[in-house]
Amino acid sequence: MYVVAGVLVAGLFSCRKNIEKRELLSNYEVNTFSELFQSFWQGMNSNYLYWDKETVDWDAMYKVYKPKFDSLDNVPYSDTTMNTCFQYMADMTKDLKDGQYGFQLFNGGDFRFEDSLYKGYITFIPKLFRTQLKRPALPDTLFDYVIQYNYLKEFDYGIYRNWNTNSIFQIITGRLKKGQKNVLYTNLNLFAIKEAYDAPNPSRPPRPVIKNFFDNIHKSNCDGVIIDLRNNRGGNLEDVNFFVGQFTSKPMLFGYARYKSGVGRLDYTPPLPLNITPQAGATDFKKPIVILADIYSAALSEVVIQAFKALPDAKVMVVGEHTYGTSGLFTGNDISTNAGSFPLGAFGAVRISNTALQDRNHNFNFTGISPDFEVKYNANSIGQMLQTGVDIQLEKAIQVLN
Amino acid sequence: MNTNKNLSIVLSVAAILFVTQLQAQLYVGVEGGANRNYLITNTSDKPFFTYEPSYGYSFGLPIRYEFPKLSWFGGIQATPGFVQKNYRMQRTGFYSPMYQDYENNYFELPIMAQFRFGGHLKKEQSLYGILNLGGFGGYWMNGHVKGRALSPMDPTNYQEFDEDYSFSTVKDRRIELGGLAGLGLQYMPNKKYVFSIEARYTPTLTDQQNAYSENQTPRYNDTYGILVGMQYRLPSLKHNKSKASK
Repeated sequence: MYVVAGVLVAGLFSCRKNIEKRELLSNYEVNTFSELFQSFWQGMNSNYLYWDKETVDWDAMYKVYKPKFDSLDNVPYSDTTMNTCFQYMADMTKDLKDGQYGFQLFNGGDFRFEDSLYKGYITFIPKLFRTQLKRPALPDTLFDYVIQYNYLKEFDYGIYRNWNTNSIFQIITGRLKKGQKNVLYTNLNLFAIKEAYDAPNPSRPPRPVIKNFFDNIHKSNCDGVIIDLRNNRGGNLEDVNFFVGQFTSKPMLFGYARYKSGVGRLDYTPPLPLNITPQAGATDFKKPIVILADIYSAALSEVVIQAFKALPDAKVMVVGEHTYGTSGLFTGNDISTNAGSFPLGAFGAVRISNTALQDRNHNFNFTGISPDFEVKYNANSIGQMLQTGVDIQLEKAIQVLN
Repeated sequence: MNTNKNLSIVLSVAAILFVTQLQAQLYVGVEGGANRNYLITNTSDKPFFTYEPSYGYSFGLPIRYEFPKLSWFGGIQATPGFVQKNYRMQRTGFYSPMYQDYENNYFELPIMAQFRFGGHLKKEQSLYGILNLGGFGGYWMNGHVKGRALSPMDPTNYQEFDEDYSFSTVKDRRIELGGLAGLGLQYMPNKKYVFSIEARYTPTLTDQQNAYSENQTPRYNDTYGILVGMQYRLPSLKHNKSKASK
């Protein structure tokens, strides 16, 4: 009887599927195109944060592209095989929703994307390519000359350089000399406000400029404020609290974040609330706030806009264009979030968000934040702006505030 | 043709059951206990990441159909009840402050055959060793998840969360099937009451997830429990008694 029982139990276990042991993504050697595919597909499968929202069928990609990559190993390595590999990877991922998505193949290659030929490229970032096809980014001349000379009085600025990343942070402040209202203006080219504020010896210290701006906000010493985030591609997460926290005296919820919680494609943590913490001296700012944004306002810029929109006492309006649409950030490190970027051996690397962000209604910002008052630039109107010195988006902001 | 064959099988089984019912005894009772559940899967492709077993509890209402003439056979038992199958996702090394506790609540229906050895102590008292073998079907009713993750607003700190688990219709398979094996002792102080203690192992044989992706790593619950129970023999029905006395 007991032998029969033992056989029964052993037999039952044979019903279970085989549980494969897999390599860490960082352990893949990638000596062949086939291994490159395996590493790429598996990495995206386990580290990408939006599979529950995607229209891309990643399993279909496996079935269609695995034989294609395998067949690349059957011909001698050349620029042609490299180009083909680059094209396959671009085609597989061109419609992914994560605005941060991009990959690098260190040997470079040629590929076609949206009817354009990209020759000798190392990096593929579909969202950025699509944005660049719409129009070029606004030139620095707009912020450094046009706005300074044509729109501002009490102009001030600060500059800080991060020597590790070589990025340069610049803050411009002033008051508008156009319109009837007393309007504060600030432009931030990226988010490194706190870093610049705390920096010991910057060339043109941003600290007094930032402090003066915050003091004016605390005192509500204006009829309204324009925050110019055009061309601002994001920056340090700490700036959300450090900047938006100057406009409120109460903590407030403005969104949610989630990470991966396991190996499976759809393993996610519950949404974790994102709260603004009021900063020292902050009061409830009740005057209108206009945020200037454009198609290059990305990542943390979009988080800041969402946080401003959650301010309970202020009237916040976005003027300009819909934003870039990133819906995710790089925070902490990828191991702690179980998600995000991963290497493709010594062959390349994939960059994806390791923190997915939702707004207060649990929606992901895949298509960008829509403006309340749309004013678009194109290549022609940018040229016109440089000639006439009239910034059509700032003009609209002034009109809205007056 | 097939219909006739099936009908004759059903009738034969019904006839056998009817005959055995004349001599069968029905027990009902309660049982409950603690368990430790292991999530069987593979996490070798995630760094600083492991699943750990967690404790839970269970209770059920056993209904046992005993055949007194077969002293080695304790009968057929079904125990509809509630079972927790909990586990923990634990980050290791530098990341050890982060974890996620999963509390999963199942309605389960185990059906088992009970084999006995041992027997009478004195007078009406008896003590048996029991071996239960069978299977179960379960339904994942709800879940709760509690843990600590990286703070999204301050990556040098952590943020705690504690909320109900949201099922994914794509990912989560809420019906679970598995095997059952139990070893224990059964003490009967008299003909009416049965007390038991049992160590029970219930391995799940169906993946906790639907097959929703290529190269998917399956997940199985393996649950080890200690159960104590009490059963009461229902009085025989009148017509059974009269038939039995003839």
